[in-house]
Amino acid sequence: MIESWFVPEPVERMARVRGGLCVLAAAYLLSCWGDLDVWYGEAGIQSTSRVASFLAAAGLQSDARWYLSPLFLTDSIAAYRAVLAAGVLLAGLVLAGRGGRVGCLVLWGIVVSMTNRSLFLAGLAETLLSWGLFAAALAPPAACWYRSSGDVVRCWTAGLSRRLIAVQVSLLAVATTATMLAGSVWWNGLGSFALAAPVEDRTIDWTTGNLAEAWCHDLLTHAIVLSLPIGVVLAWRRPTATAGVAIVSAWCLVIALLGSHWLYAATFAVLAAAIPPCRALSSSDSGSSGRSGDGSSG
Amino acid sequence: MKRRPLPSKRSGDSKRSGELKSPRDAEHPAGTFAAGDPTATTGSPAVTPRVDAAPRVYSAPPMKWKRLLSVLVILHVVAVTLSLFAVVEPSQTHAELLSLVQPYLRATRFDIDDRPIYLTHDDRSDQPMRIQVSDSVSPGEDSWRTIEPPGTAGLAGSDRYHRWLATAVLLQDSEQPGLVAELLLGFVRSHPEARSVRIVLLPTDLTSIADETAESVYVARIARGGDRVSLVHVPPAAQSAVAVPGSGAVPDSGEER
Repeated sequence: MIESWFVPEPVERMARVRGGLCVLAAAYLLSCWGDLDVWYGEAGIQSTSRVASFLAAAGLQSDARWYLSPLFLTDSIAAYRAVLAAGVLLAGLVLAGRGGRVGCLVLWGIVVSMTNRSLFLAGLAETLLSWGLFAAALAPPAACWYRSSGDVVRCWTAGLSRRLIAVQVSLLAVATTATMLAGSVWWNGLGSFALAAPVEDRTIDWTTGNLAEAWCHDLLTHAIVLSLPIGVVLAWRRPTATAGVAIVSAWCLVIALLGSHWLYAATFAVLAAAIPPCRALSSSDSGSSGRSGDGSSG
Repeated sequence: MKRRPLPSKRSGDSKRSGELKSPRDAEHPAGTFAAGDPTATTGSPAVTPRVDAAPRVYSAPPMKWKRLLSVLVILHVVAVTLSLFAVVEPSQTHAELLSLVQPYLRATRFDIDDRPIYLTHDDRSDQPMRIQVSDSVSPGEDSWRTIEPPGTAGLAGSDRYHRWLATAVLLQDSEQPGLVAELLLGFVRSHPEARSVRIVLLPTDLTSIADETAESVYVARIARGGDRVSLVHVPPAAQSAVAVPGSGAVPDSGEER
C-alpha cells in the first residue's frame, strides 16, 4: 500500500498535465483582469472594508479567517493587476519547464490567493486548479512539450504527483455522480435540459434545437450520468485507459457546451488525463540505472 | 541542496546534465552526447539516438520518509473526501469532522464549500438572476433598469455576477435581509442615481407557467444623506404597496451604513 505511492514514473506525463494546468491558470487569472474594479478596489462591491463589514454582520469572522490571502491587505487595483500579471508570466515559465517546483508552487499560491480573496465569487474550477497545481508542483519540472527519446526519465515524485491527481479527480467523479442522483432531474431525463435552460447565463442557447425533444434530452441525461463513472473506471485500467479518458473528455465537452462550465470542464479533462496508470518498470530497467533522489537534485 | 530542472534542449545544460549521468553514460562523455538529456537527440541533428537506452530512475526515498509522506497523503485525501461528500446534506458527525479539517482546506482552497458539483438540481440557484435599479422611491414595473453581468454570458465575469447574486438570494431565503443589504451596499454606492434596488430571478423553460414572469426576491429603498447610504428592505407584503405613495407600508427591517 505504502510502496504503491512511490513507484517511479516517466516525467513527461506530468509535464503535459502541468502544462495544461498552467494554461488554465493563466486563463483564470486573465479572466479576473477585466472586472477587477467592479469587485475590488476601494469602491468595489467586495472591497476589504465591505468584506469585513459583511463578515462581522453575519458573525462569520471565525469561519472566514482561514481564507488566507495577502490581497486582503490592499484595495489597490494596481497591486491586483501586478499579482495577476506575475501569475500569467509564471504560468508561461512553468509551462516551458522553467522555475522548478518553486515556480509551480508560487503559481498555485497566486491562484489560491486570488480565489480566497474572491470568497463566494469563486467556483468549482478554482478548487480543481488548486488541487492540480499543488499536486503538479511535486513532480520534477519539465517543459510540457518535453518528449523523452530513448532515455526515459522516471521519478518517484512524478508518480506520487500523478497518483494524487488521479485519486482526487476520481473521488470528484464519484461524488459528482452520487450527488447528481440526489436530484430528480438526473432521473427523469430533464437534467441535460436543466443544464441548458438558463439561456440568459449560457454562452450557447441549445434549448431551441433537438434538445427540446424528449428522446434527445432523455438520452443525453442518462449518458451524462453513466459516462462519468464508466469513463473513470476504464481510465484506471491500462488496456482501456485511452477509451476511458476519451469518455471522460467527452463528458467534459458536453458539460461545457450545455452548462457553459468552460473552465471547470477544461480543468476536469486535464486532470482526468493523469488517471491512466503508467507501464510498470521491468526489473532489468529498474536495476540498470536506479538511484536515490527526487529528480530535482544531482 | 542544489536544485536543477529536468534536462532541456539548451546546449548549456550539458555540464549540469553530467550530474545525472548513470554509470552507462560514462561511455558517452558529457558534451558529446548530452548525457541525461532525453531531448538532446531531437535538439541536435548531429546526435545519433541511442538504441539501447534504459530508463533513468530516481528511486523512492527511505522507508521513514515513505511512511511520513503516506500519512500526509492519506490525511489530505480524507480531508478532500469529507469536503466532497458534504455537498448535499452532511450528517452531524460528518459536519463535525469537516470542521476539524476546514482550516487546512480553506487556507489551500482545496474545499468544495457546498458548491454544486452535481451541476444542476433545477432549483432556484440555477435560475438566471439580475439586479435592477430604479430612480424612483416607489417604482412601477416599467421603471426598473437591469444591470447586466459583465462580459459574455457563461464566461467568468458573468459567473461571478451570478454567484454574488446567488449568495444574496440564499441570504434572503434564510430571512437575512440585513446581510443582503450589506452585500449590495458597494453596488448601490456605485449607482448614485438609484433610489430603489431589487433582485429578480428570470424564468427558464423549466419553470412553471405560474412563474413565467421575473420573480422579485429582494426589494429595498435606498436612502442617501451625504456620504451615508441606507438600504431599507421592503418585505413581500408591502411590495405591492411600493408603487402607491402614502400607502402606509412600513418596512420590517432597515440597515444604516
